[in-house]
Amino acid sequence: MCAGKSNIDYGFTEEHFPEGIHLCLIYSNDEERKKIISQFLKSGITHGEKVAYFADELPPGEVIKWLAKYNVIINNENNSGQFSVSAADQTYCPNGTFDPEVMLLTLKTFYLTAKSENFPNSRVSGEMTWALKGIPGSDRLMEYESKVNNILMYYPVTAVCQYNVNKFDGAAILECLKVHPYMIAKGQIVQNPYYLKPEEYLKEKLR
Amino acid sequence: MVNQNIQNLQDQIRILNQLIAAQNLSRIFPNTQKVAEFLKQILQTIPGIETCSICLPGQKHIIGGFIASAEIIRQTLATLPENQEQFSIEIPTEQNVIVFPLKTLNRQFGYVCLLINSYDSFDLFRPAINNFLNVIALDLENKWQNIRMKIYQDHLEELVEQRTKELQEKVNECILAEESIRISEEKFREIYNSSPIAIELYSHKGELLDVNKSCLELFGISNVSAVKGFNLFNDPNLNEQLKQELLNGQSVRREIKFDFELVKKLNLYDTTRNGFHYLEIFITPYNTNGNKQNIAYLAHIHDISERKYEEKEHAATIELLKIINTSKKKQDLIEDITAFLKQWLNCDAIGIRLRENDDFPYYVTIGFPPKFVKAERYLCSYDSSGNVELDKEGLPLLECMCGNILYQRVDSSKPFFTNHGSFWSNNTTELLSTTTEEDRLARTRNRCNSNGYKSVGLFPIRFANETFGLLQVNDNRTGFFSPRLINFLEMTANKIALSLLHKRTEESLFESEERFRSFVENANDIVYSMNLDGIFTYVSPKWKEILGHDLDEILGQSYSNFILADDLPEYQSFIGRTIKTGEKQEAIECRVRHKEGIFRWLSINASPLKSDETILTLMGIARDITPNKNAQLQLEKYSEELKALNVSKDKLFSILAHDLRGPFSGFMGITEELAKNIDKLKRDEISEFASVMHSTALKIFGLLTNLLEWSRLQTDRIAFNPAPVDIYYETVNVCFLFSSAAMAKSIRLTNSVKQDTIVYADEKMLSTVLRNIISNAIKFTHNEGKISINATESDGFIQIEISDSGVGMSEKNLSDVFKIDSVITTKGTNNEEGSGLGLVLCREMVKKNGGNISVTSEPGKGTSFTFTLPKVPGQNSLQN
Repeated sequence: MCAGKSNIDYGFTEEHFPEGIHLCLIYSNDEERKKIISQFLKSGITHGEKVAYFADELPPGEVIKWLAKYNVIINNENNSGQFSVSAADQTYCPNGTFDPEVMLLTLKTFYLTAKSENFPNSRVSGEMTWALKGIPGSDRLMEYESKVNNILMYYPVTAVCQYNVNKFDGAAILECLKVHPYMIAKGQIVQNPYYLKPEEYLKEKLR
Repeated sequence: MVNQNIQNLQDQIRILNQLIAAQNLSRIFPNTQKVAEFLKQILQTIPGIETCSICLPGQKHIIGGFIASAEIIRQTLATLPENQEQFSIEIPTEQNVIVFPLKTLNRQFGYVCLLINSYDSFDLFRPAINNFLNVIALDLENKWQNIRMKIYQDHLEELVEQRTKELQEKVNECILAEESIRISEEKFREIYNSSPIAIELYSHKGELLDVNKSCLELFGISNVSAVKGFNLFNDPNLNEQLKQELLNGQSVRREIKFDFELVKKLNLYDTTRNGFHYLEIFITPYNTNGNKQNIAYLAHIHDISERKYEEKEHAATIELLKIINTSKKKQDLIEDITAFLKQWLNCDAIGIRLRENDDFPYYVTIGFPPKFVKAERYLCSYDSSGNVELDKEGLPLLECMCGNILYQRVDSSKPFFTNHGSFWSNNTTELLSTTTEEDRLARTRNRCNSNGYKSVGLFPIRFANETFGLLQVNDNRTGFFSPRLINFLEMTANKIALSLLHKRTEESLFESEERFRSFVENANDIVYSMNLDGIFTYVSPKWKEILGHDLDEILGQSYSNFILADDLPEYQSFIGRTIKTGEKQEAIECRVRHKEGIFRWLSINASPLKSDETILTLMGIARDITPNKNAQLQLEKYSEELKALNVSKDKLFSILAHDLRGPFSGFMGITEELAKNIDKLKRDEISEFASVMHSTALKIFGLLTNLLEWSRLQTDRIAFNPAPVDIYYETVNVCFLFSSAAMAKSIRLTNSVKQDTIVYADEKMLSTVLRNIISNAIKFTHNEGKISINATESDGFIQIEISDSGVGMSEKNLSDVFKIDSVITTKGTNNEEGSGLGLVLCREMVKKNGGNISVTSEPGKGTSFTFTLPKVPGQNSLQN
C-alpha cells in the first residue's frame, strides 16, 4: 500500500524526515511543547496535509485559542475537514475503554480518509495524559504504541505522542522510549536508542 | 568468538547510545526526583546490573529496590578526598555492591548504589556509567542551581512585586489625595461662592483678602475693593483678648450690633443697608501642622437680627402674658400693659382708648402732655346742644384717624393702613402734605403732628368683630416703625383685646359664681357634687349643720362612708341609674351617718353635669327629712298599734259578746229560775242550782282571767320577771292540776320532762302556757287517749313538746290557731267549751319570753304543740 515514503517538513526542524514517523515528545516545559507542536501542526496545514489533534489537558476550544496565539489560525469556512481538534479520551477510548486494536483501526481510517479526500499526507498529535485517568484498558497503551510502528509502515501517518514528564513517572517514560523509534530532544528529531521493534517489545512484555 | 565480540561491541555501542540519549533526556525532567527515577530505570537496563537504588540529598527515602547499609556507605564516602572525580567504589562489607557518588566539583548530591549480578558484563560499561553519572551529577547540580535560582528569583520577584505593589499603592494614594484635594478645593470654592453664609478671608496679618457673594450682600457693598483696606486686627469690635486668642490659634465667636447708619455717617464705605443689624461672627485661624504661625483667618458672619428680634419679641410676649395673667383688675391690667410697652418700645408717648358708652376715651396714657390728653380724651363730636353728632349710618361720629381705626374705616391699598386695620406713619408731616382728607378717609385733627409726633401708630384692640378700643404709639422721631414692629404691636393689641374679653368674662363669671355660692351656701339643703366614682368634690356648709362633719372630713371621701349599710345598695343603684341614663333621678330617701354616729334621714336627688354628652360630675341636693321621717315612722307605729288595738278590741268585744255572753246567759237563766222558783225548789235542787252556778262562775272567772292577762300583755301592763325556772316542777304542777280532768276521760298523761331542765322565763307566764296547752290537749283528746310532755335542748333553747292523740286539726285551723282575729272556738270531745283565747295568749307569752311556738297536727291522729324558751345564760346542757 505504501510504495515509498516521501520526506516531509516537520515544522520545528529544518531537516526533512520521511512521512509516517512515530515520534514521542517528552516534555516538562509547556511553552516549549506548544511551540514545537504548533509548528508541527502549522507545517502540516501549510503543506495541505490532513491534520488531527487529540487534546486532553485543555478542552478542544481552548486548544484552538492557544494555537491561534502561535499563528495556527483555524478557519472553519475554509477548513474543509483539513484540521480537526478532538478530545483525546473520546478519540482513543470512544466507548469508554481503550482497545489498541480499535485505535489502530481508527488510525488506519484516518489515513485512508485523508487519501480519499486527496490530502497528500496526514499527521496527528496526541496528548497522552488521558492514559493516567484510570480508563479501562489504558494499561495497554504501550502495546498500542508499539503496534503502531507496524501500522505506520503501511499507513504512514506522521504521529507525535506527547508525554508530560511532570505527570508520567520514570518507568513509564522508559517504556515510552522503547516503543517510539524517534524522539524529539531539544527540538530535534533523533533516533531513539531505546527503541525496540514491536516483536521484541511485545515479546519482552509478555515475558 | 568473533561474532561474540562483535555482538558485545554492538551492545556496548547500543548502551553507550542509550546512555547518551538518557543524558539528554535527563535535562527534560523538571526536578531531581524525576531525574533519579528515570536514572534508576536507565541503569537497570544495563547488562550486569541486577538493580540499583539512588540516594539524593533532601529526599526522605532512597529510590530503588534495595538498600545497602547506608551507614557504611556514608562512612566510605566520607573517606574520599574532596577533589576526587566521579568513580565507583566497592563496599568491602557488602558483596556485589558498587557505589557511584553523584558529585561535582562543588558538591556531592548523593550516590547511586548498584547491585551487580555479573561483573564481566558490568565492567564493560563501568567507564560509560561513570561518565554518564558525571553528566547526571552536573545536570543535578544544574537543576539544584536552577531551583536555588528559582527560589531566589521567586523571592526576588516576590520582593519586587511587593515593593512595586507598595509603590503603586503609594502612587495611588497620592493620586487619590491629589484628587481629593482638587475635589475638596473645588467644593470649597463652590461652597465659598454659593454659601448663604457670609465668608471673609484674611491674610495671616489680618488683611482682608476676599469676601464671598453673601458677604457683599450682607454688608450692602458692590465690590470687595470697597473694603479692601480693612484689617481684622483693627476691628474695634475685636478686643485684645479675642485678638490674642486668634493669634494663639483659637477660634473666636462674638455677637455685635452693627450700625450701618454709623458706617454711612463716618463714610467708611458705600452701603445699601440701613439701620442696625445683629451679626454673629466666627473667626477661625488656619495654620499648618505643628506650625505656630497662622497662615490665614476665615470669618463666617451670620445676620442674626431676625433671631434677635424674635428673642426680644418672645421675651416681650412672655412679659405681656405674665401681666395679663397676674393682673386682677381691668384698671391694673391696662396700666401695667401700657407701662411695659412704653418702656419696651422706648417711645415718647403711648395710650390706650377703651369703649365707654358711645365714645372711646383714653383709659390710660403715658408720655402725652396733659393738654393733649385733655383735648384728645374723647373722640365723639358734640353739637351745640351737647348731643353726640351722628354719622351717615346713624352711629356716633368718631373723629380723626382713631375713629377710622375704631370703626374699621380703612383702605389697605393705602400704605398707611395695614391689612389688619391699623394705621401707621413714620412721618406725619410728610403724610399730611402728600395726602388729602379724602385719602385719609377722615377729617383729621392733626394734633399729633402739631405736637411734634412724627411717628404715629394706631392699632385696634379688637377681638371677633368686637372693638374694645385702640393702642396708640407716638414718637417724635421719624422712621420709628418697622414692618416687624407694626406686626408685633398688632399682635399685642390682639392680646390686649383677648385679655379684656377674658377679664370681662372672668368678672361676669365671678359675679355669677358669687351669686351661686351665696345661693348654695345659704340654702336650707345640702348641695353636693361628686365624681363618677362617688367621691365628694363639693358639699355646701349646710352639711356640717345637718350631719356634723367638717368639710375636710367629707371632701375626697366616698358616699359609701356615710350612707347606712342597709340603704347603700339602693343608693348605689340610684347613682348607677343617674350615670347610665344621664338624666336627673327622682329623689330617694336614705339614712346618712351623723358625725355622732346616729343616722339622719335625707332625701337625695342627683343630676348629671355634662359636657358634650359626657358626664363630668354628679350634682344634687340633699334635704334633711329626719323630723318628717321620724314623725312618719311614729305615725306608722301608732297606726300599727292602733290597728292591733282595734283588733284586740274587736276580739275583746267578740269574746265578750260570744264567749262571755253564753255563760252569762246560762248563769242568768239559772239565777232567774232560782229566783222565781226558789220557794218551790227543794234543798237538793237548790244545791244543784248553786253548784251549776258556781261552775259557770268559775268558767266566767277563768275567761275573765285570760282576758285580763291578754289585755295586760297587749298593753304591756303585765308583770314580766324572767328568772331560771325548772320546767320539771312546772309541768308536774300543771299535770297535778289537770290530773282529775284527765282521769275523768281516762287519758294517760305522761310527763317525761327531766328534773333540772332550767329555762329563763317568767314563771307565771310559763305556767299559763303549760296550763292552756295541756287543758286544750285534754279537751280534744278522746277517752282512753294519751298526752305526753317532753323537753329537749336545742341551740341555746329548751324545746317543750306537748303531744296528744286527740282529734287533730285541719290545715286551715292550724294556720289560724294563734291569730287573735280568727280565734277558733271548738268544743272538746266531751263538749268542753273554751274561748280560743288561750293559744293566742300562749303565743304572746312565749314571744314575750324570747321563744317561739308552733303546732303540727293531723286530723284524727292528734296534735303536737312545741314551744321554745331560752336557757339560762351560761347553761350548756340539760342536767339529769
